Amino acid sequence: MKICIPAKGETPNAQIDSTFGRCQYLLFTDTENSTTYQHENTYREDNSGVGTQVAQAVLAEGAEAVLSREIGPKAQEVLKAGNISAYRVDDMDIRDAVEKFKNNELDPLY
Amino acid sequence: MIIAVASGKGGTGKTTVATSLALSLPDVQFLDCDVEAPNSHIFLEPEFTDETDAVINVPEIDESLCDGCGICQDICEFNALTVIPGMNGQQSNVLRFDSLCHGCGACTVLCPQQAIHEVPRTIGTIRFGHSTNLAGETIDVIEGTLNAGETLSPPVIRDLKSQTDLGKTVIIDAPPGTSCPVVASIRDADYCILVTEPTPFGLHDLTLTVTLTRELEIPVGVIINRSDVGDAAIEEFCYKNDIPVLLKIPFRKEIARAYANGIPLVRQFPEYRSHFNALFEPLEMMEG
Repeated sequence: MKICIPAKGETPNAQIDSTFGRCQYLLFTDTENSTTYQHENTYREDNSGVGTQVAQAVLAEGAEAVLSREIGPKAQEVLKAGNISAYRVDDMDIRDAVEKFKNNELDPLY
Repeated sequence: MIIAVASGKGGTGKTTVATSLALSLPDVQFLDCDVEAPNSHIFLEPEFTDETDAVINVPEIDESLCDGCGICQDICEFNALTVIPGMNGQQSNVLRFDSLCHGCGACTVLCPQQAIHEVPRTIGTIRFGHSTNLAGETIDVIEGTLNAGETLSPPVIRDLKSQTDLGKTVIIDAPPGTSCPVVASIRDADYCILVTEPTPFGLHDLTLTVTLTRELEIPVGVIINRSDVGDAAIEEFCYKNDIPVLLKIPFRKEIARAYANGIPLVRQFPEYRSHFNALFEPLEMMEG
């Protein structure tokens, strides 16, 4: 299963970014084989509608879940329309967040 | 002629000046364009007799015609539309975020399927009324209010300004700042009175506002409020930039007290009436 995490850096050692729409990187990882890749968030400096664009980028990558500290209401609407689930995480690094996700230790964000 | 009263910094005395002008001059139409916090009515006490909705036109999408091509999303400068591609044979779906839409109409015009038409969305109110000036003559008062929670005031300001009566002396009370709402308010003005105060904040924001009015090619004059506190930097700036100082209003506890009681400056201190009349005369001649 492919999941997406807003990240402060380019690797799973990085911290989770505190925001979804204006995160530095979108990190995608496959929970079965741990294949990981990332996209720089090119929308983060836009004035408006950032969250919806990032949510759409998540859709376009075919991710099925997002792990994030927060997700804005408009971005949530896009993710829900794309049948993507979301789980709440605290300030932690990405590796730990993915482990918690695999162990079903995270609460749904919506 | 149209005279806009503006200032970069809030709380410098825009409404004090604008309402004082309106009460002192004959044949005035007063437009309160500070639609996020219109408060000129406290001083002018107009009787409102009519009101209309202020609207913005937003897209409505006929899903039966939409093929999910995504052009509307790509051309929207403000990301107000998000196309969710159809999955597993399902129809694609366009999500509309009205609070982001500036009502430009590009999506409606450019949709290849002609699946988009515009529907009005109410974002505020325009109220029409009358007040009386110091000479007992009627002032036409029009006031715009942006609904709570809405973020876009320029459409309300444009609706309000479409009521401009060029047969009268039009006084515009502009919102503070130097961004879109101010541009919408002062654009088309023949003259702009910039109200400021002699503090570093006043100078900083005056400098920004002068840059804006130069860009819009509107001649300006400055009124310095609370002129006897602070420093001389405003007057130096005006001198260097060839901007006339139209009036200086000193800091007086009695002025502040009248303001706090909603009493217009020119009503409490009749001597200011001649000051405002005097500053208007050269403007009127400039127009003539």
